[in-house]
This record gives sequence, C-alpha cells and structure tokens, in this order.
Amino acid sequence: METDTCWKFRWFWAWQDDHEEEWLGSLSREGWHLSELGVPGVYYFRKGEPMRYAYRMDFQTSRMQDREAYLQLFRDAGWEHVGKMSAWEYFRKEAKPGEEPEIFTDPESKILKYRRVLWFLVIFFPILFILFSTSWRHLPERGEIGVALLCIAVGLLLLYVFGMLGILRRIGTLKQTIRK
Amino acid sequence: MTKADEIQKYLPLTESMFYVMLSLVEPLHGYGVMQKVEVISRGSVTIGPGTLYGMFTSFEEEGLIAMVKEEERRKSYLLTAKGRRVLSKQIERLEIMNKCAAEFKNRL
Repeated sequence: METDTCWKFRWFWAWQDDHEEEWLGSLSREGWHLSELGVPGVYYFRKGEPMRYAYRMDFQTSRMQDREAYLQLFRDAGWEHVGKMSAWEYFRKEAKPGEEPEIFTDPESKILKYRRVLWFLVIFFPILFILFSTSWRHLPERGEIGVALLCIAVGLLLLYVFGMLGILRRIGTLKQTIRK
Repeated sequence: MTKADEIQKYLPLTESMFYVMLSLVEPLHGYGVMQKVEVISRGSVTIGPGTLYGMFTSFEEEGLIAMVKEEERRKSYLLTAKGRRVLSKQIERLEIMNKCAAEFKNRL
C-alpha cells in the first residue's frame, strides 16, 4: 500500500527559522510529517497520524569535524534527525502539550548560530559584487541583454543585503535579551 | 597577558557555562552533562544539545576542557588545569555573593 507523500516549495529567510519551525510543526499536527529535504526551499512530506512535533534547526557548515558525535548528542537528547538542507540540520522531537523542547537553551548560542550563517554568506558578497560591476561595465555593448543582466545583478545584491540585515537585526534583538 | 588576565576574561561565567564546567570535574559525555546539569541545578537550568555542542567546541578551543575518550560516537570531556582555575575563580566570586546575600537577607 502506498503512503501518501507530497512536496512543497517555500522560501524562509535565515532569520525566519522560527517561522519555518512553526510551519513544520503545524503540518505535523495535520498528519503531514517532514520526511526529506531537497534543494533550498523544497520540502518532502509523508502522511501519517497527527503528531505534536517540535521542529528545530541548526546551521553547521562543513567545517564541523565530528558530525557523527554531533548527531549522536542530539539523538541521546531525544531529537530525531530528519535531514539536511544546504547547511541547515533539521531535528524533531515529540512535544507534550505545554512543552517547548529547545536545542538552544540560551540566547548566546542562538546568536552564535546566526553568526555562523553570516560568515557563510559573507563569501557570496565578492561574487555578487563582481557580477554587478561586470554587468555595469559592459552595459553599453550589450543593449537589452545587458540591461536585463544588470537588473538581475542589482536584484540579487538587494536580496543579499536584505538577508544580511535581517540576520543582523535578529542578532541585535537576541543581544538585548541577555542580562549582564 | 598575565595568568590572572587569562582567567579573568572568562568571568563571570553564564549559568549554563558554570554548570557545564562543574559537570566536567570528572570525565563525562554530552548527554551525561545534560542530565547532570538538570540534577545539580535542581531543574533550574537545562542545556539543549545545540547549546552544549557549541560550548564543547569553544571550551575545547580555549583549552578549558579536553577530550579524554570517544566511545560509540560519544565524546567524553574533562576540565583541564586552566578550566579548573577558571571554575575556582568563579566559585570565589559566588562565595562572596553568597556571604553578602546571607548578611542582607535579614534586612529584606
């Protein structure tokens, strides 16, 4: 008998990971459980019994040397590893009503997570800038295609800056919750 | 940097850091630390796996803890001499606070 499966596309900014976690949780309450992660933005689900799951995500680049020990720690703590989307690791844990299981239990470690995202994204800035400046410099030669390329480059740069600012703002909000 | 400064820069420890370091006075692996912190803090502090993994990584980088063994994908850590010095200094601070608290408790 074939299980019901489906896939969805949805874009979340890095600083909207809590919305993403809530979205996955609400889908599980309807019986649609995250089964696999695809390319960024693509989620695969499998139908089952409605369950109260807490979904939580961590960001770990490939510089993590001991992924096996990392996953074992989560497993020991009762978190099931669902999959990986780019550098985002997805975990879930059954939650009883009133419970809010967390993988990050203080603001400092949450801030570190967002900082890891920032460092990862910093690499893309030179690439985008080169893309922008080349399309700008070659604008007179290429006519309509040149304009289109320039618009794409500008668009990507704006999205990039928007994304980075969003993360910085999230870090700022978290910093304010730290009592010193 | 003098030895005193070397220790001072880690203080004061956050509650989570304090309890994790206390738990590593003897060798213990990740989940063991999570359970121990819950017990010794009387349930007032919980450490999530994401937080703990980050702490292990940075404590190890700073030379405050060292890995002593790895069994079935579980790493056990132990406080180093430097880690013990930091923890002792933190406990000194807490003892001063405790004394003050006891003195002033009656006036509250």
